[in-house]
Amino acid sequence: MPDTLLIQLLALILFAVCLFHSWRTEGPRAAQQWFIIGYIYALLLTSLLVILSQIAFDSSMLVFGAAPSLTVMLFPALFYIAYTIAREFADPTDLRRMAYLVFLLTAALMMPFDAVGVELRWWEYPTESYAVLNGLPFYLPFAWGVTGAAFFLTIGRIRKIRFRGSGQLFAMIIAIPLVAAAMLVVISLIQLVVSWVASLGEVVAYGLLGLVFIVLPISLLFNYPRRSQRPLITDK
Amino acid sequence: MTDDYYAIIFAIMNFSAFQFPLFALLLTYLALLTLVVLSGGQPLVLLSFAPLAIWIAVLVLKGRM
Repeated sequence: MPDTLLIQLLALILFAVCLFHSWRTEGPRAAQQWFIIGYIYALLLTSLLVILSQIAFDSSMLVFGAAPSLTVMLFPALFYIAYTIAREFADPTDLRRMAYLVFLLTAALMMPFDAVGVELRWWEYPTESYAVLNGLPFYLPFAWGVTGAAFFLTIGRIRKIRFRGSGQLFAMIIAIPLVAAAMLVVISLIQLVVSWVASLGEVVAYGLLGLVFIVLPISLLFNYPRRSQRPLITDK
Repeated sequence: MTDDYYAIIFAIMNFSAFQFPLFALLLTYLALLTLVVLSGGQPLVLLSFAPLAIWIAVLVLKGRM
């Protein structure tokens, strides 16, 4: 049995469980929006990253185009779990605070998958940028965090627009390829900034990771940043 | 008989709107951890689970778990 079968199976099960949970708790419409759009977003973004040689997957994985069709199901599932946890700390209509929390959570949730994936050679990052934890690019947690936050913001913003019928779903289908393409530029900028930070020294680099993974999550215990009294973006 | 299975599944799914995805995620990470340990992976990889442990601690201290 190839090792990659396990991660594909895990991704599929996690996706199915999260979809089922979303369907039961948020309703069919919200579940369809999140998981159909999330899957399209993950396929497009991963395909672009593969084409640009930013990531390379094991050849034994099932693929759709350039992206592994089952493994990318991890993205919408992990974004959904990040969203579910973020709702415990913020009002779901407060898009800015929610996006901040989804950023922190996605970075933390993706880290073990990436570390194990690289260790077991399920995928690799052919980059010469500064690496942590045995070959994990230093920019990666920030890139995945921004990717999750951008996905949440897109879905959250379009859900605030009143469309008839399946209008919201179609608006998301139109918007998400643009967001995926924009993410390439954003990830490139993150690589530049993080490489510059890493060039300042290991202490600064690990300090940045400590900020995202330790300081900011713990600051939530002290109610920082404070919850806003009303949603920052209204339905108007 | 099938209805019984559905009843069991829905009972598990409904034990908390919040805790179920977390429960699934923890099982997934457990599978990953087991795989790393069994395949003789580098101990450094285990450090990547630390951010998740911090989030669990935050959720516990906030009384959300």
